[in-house]
Amino acid sequence: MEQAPVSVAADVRRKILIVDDYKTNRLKMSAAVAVLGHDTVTAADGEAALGILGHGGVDLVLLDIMMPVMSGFEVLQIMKADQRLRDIPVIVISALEGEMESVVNAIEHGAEDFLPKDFEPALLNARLNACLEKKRLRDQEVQYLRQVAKLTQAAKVLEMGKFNPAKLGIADIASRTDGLGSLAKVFTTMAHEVYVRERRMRQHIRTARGSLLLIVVGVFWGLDLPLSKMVNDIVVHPIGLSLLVNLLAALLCIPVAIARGVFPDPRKLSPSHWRYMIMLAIFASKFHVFWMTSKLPASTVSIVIVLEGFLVFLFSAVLGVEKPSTKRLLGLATGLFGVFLVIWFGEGSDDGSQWLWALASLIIPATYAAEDIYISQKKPAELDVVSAYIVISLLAAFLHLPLAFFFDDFVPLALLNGEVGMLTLAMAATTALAMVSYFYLIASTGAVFAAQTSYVVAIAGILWSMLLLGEQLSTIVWLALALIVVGLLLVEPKHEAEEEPPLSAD
Amino acid sequence: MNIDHAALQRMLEMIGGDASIMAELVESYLEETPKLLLNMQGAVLARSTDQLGRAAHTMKSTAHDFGAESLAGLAQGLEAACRSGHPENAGQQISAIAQALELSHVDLKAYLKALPGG
Repeated sequence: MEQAPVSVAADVRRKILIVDDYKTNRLKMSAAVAVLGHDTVTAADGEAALGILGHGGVDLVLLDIMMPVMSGFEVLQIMKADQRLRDIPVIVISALEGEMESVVNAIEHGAEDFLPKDFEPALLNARLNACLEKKRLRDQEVQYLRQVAKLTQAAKVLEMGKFNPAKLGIADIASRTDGLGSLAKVFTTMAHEVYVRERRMRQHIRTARGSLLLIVVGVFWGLDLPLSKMVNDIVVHPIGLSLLVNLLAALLCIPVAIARGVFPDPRKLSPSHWRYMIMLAIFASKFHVFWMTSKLPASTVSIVIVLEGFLVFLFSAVLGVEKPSTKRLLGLATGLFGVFLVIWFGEGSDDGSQWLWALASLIIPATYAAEDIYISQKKPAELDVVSAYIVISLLAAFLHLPLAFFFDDFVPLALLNGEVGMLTLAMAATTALAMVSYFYLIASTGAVFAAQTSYVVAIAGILWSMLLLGEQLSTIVWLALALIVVGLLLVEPKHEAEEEPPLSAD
Repeated sequence: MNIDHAALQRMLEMIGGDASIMAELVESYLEETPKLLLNMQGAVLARSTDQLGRAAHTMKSTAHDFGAESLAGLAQGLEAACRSGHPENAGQQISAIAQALELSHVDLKAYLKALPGG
């Protein structure tokens, strides 16, 4: 019967550092160690030896005690004082006679063993293997203890209710094949299941809240169209009206901000904050909407607004946020055709130029879509929504001033006492409500989901226009509306709020 | 015969019987030992017992490795004298070491030639 190999370490190649100031000895030791199947590296003095050790990768040191400049004993002392080097076993080499004292001294200071200068090869092999095996077991033990500590830490993290498996940091332990590995695997699997469930739940909540906000935004935003039409029936000053609506919306929000204690401090705003708010102030202008409702039925403008959803999809596809597909492009074409029908055959002003105005009204969904994407990409997380909206609306009102002067487009103050004043106040209130909800919506669900407000705005706009203005849709417009709905279904509006970032980035 | 061939055979076995490495080792002996001798002479001039002892120590063990037993014995004598702190006849001892070294070189050069590929 054959005997099993005496040592496990013998079949593992290790790197042995040989330190001796005498060249012939280095050659001899190197050759002897290489014959035993290990890699060797040599150093002619203590300093060179420490340099090599500093680079790492050495498994054992064969160290000559008697060396000029820095003795082996000094090398040993430095190694034992160094956290990274103290666990590397050292075998000191000595001629024994006359050096017994230094050998004893070296072993007392942490040398693993000693070897006489005229050693027998079998003795070298036995001592190397014994030391390497001891080191291997020690390394294993240290690693095991370290992994147990990590697992204990992971258990604490789980106990705190943090289930992100990437944060547990036990993936390496889970790859072990022993009991500790199984335990780590159980931890990771359970944490993963709980984490995925929690993520789904959070997403469902965001979707539900988003849907509610979507309806709020749409209903109030849609109300803007017939209200502005009602103002336009009395007097047409789109720039002045937009100025007033923004100013009043800001004033209406101030008590809310004060009640919440988050009034904006202009000194704390950075240049990037100002850029963001000035951009939004430009987007906040409604004079183009008010102008269009003076030329077209409010329901026609409402239908055109549907295009925002298509445009956001288009922009997102171009920006690479969403994947385009033939089906979605077909949906886009169908929707556009429906809008074209409305523009071409819809009712309008009596002078026969209604299709031109309808075409011009495409600017409305274009600016809305741009605003939607801009907010979702640039919104600084630290800005409070209500206080930011106040600043944005005030800026918007201010930006309207020169235009209103230039075009002499102010709403006459005398009119504000009557119906125009009431309507303007109502529009300011609906605008403020819709915009603040809109900011929240984009922040919690993303641009593509939020763009669906345009559908609700359109439907609400049509219904409000029928209710408040008694507008009726012709058969062809109903047909066009049906085409738009089919187009929307093909584009597949986003049913869910955006997902959280992947596990590791969370 | 100034060299114990059994010692050379032991060393050859220790390095796995590779004649080319053995040749390299013998060449190293032939190159390095004269430097050790110079080192000893320098130590005497510098009156450094410490340096002399260390050189004698290395000479002793390398001579022993290569089977130059009489050289090893002389070197060990000098090393012991240095350790006791009184290397009185150092000059004479070094002369004797030089002669023994010379003889070991003659034998080892012959051995080197006899090695396969030598």
